[in-house]
Amino acid sequence: MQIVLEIDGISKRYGKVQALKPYKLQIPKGTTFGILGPNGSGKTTTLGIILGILSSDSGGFTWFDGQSVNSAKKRIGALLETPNFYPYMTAYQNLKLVAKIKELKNPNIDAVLKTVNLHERAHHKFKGYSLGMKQRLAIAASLLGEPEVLLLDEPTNGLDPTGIAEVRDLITRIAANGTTVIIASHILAEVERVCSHVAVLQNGSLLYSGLADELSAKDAVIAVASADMQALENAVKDLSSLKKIRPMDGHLHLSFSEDMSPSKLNQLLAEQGIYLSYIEEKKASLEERFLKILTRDKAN
Amino acid sequence: MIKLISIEWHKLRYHRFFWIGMVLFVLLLSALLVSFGSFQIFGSRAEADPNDPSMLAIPANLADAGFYKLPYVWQNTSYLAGFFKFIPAFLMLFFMASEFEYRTMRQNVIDGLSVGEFFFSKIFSLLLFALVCTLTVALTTSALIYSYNDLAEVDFWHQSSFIVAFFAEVFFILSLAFFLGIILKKSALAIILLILYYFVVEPVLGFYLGSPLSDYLPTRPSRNLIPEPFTRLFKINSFLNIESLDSISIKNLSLSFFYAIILLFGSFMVLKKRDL
Repeated sequence: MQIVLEIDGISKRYGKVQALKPYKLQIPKGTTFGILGPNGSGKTTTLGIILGILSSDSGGFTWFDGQSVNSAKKRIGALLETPNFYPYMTAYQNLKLVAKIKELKNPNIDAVLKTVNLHERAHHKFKGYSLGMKQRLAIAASLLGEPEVLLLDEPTNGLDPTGIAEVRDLITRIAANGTTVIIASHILAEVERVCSHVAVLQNGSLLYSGLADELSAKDAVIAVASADMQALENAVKDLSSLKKIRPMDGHLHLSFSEDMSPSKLNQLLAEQGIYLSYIEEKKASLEERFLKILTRDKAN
Repeated sequence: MIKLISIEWHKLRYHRFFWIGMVLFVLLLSALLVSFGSFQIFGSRAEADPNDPSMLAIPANLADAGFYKLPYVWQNTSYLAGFFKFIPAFLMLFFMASEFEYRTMRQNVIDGLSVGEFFFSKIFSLLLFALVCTLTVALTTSALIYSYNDLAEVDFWHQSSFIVAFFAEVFFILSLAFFLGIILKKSALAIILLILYYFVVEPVLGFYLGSPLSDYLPTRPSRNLIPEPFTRLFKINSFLNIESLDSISIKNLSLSFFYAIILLFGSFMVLKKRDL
């Protein structure tokens, strides 16, 4: 598996605040990678460092095969926080400037403007644009030159519901072409819907990184019920791998420290003469899991 | 290199201020230089009686006083033009500070420009401004020389080194504006501070320090490059025992370039160190 970006212990301190604690992360080629975290968790600081606009206090990072940041950036399309353009230039002139900086020979300016539905306003000055239009122009700029990596920080900021749906659609389509997409967001739905990989950041610490599916599968809860609930409870309490037991809605919600499948549990209980009237594996949604990770961190 | 020039030119050419500033500078300056000669001199009378011997000493206007005569014309015009250097300086400052106010420098770097490349693309603006200013003065002065002098008698290039001095003076003020734009990041604030420093802080400081220490304050060498020409023009210097300059002071010339380079180097270091 090829690695597009390797983060090795970058950190950042602003005065007394440790905005980012050293952590390691690898982003494989062709994945849609979500960096999830509430506001102020270090997402933008991370992106700022890997784009070379913030200096890291420690560690380092490698783009592609150890290319310098400045030449690597020509292969990356990035949208960081607010869209920044020259207010006195039109959208077209602004994109032309970006193309010059990226040294694109035949920039696909008209095509990207069409992709974000700005082609009719292409020759209007940027300063007259609405927030949503500015955001769409920023997305268009990041798509210039069909970059190998697309880096989007809160890409649906300032967009109306139609715009949000369009952008999500766009991201899915671009990812399907094999482009590596890195999305930083505090909106779970955004990440859950499009990302194959997730990293969770909070207060500058990396709490989780891995497959999005694994994140929701881990800590699966098995809900069970039987005619004699007391006997059931006594029986499960004897299981060595039981981590937590919680009665809920007439069922017992069980979580285990080891891998436990419903069929295995059913078998173990049947061996003790307990027959289940109800069994269901409840996979935590990314959202539940996300909140869980965050609250666990707070408790520590 | 060509890429950086093309990037910077793209930023300049679409901005109205750039064209307004440049046209204003060229028109105002050349108009002033051309019309300055017809300014009436206090104490003279337009219809002076040629037979009245007391009237002969004072010429009717500055052209008659020899304002456009070689070799002094080079000093006269470049001295006057010095007052206009604040137009390109404010433009420089405005364009520099805007890159921070609109966070576009940050965007440039995100898009793939290195901080060093950004710096050198801005140096192109600085050189462009300085060259436009110098060429305006040089061309206007040449035109004036042709219409007011008999070139068979005098050397066209004699004392033309004042044009080099003018270039140094503009180059210095542009470098100061460049530096303040980067440090302060706000164009309005930077313009106010530039004026305050140039016209209040440093003169007061110079007064307290006294000569020769005051001659080494940052803006001093560039100010002293072109001495005011009027005492010589009216031959008052012979009364006051002031020595007139036939060529520019190499010491002041090198010092103003030296200070300018220090300011530019400082700007570069600040850009390098600063988080965007």
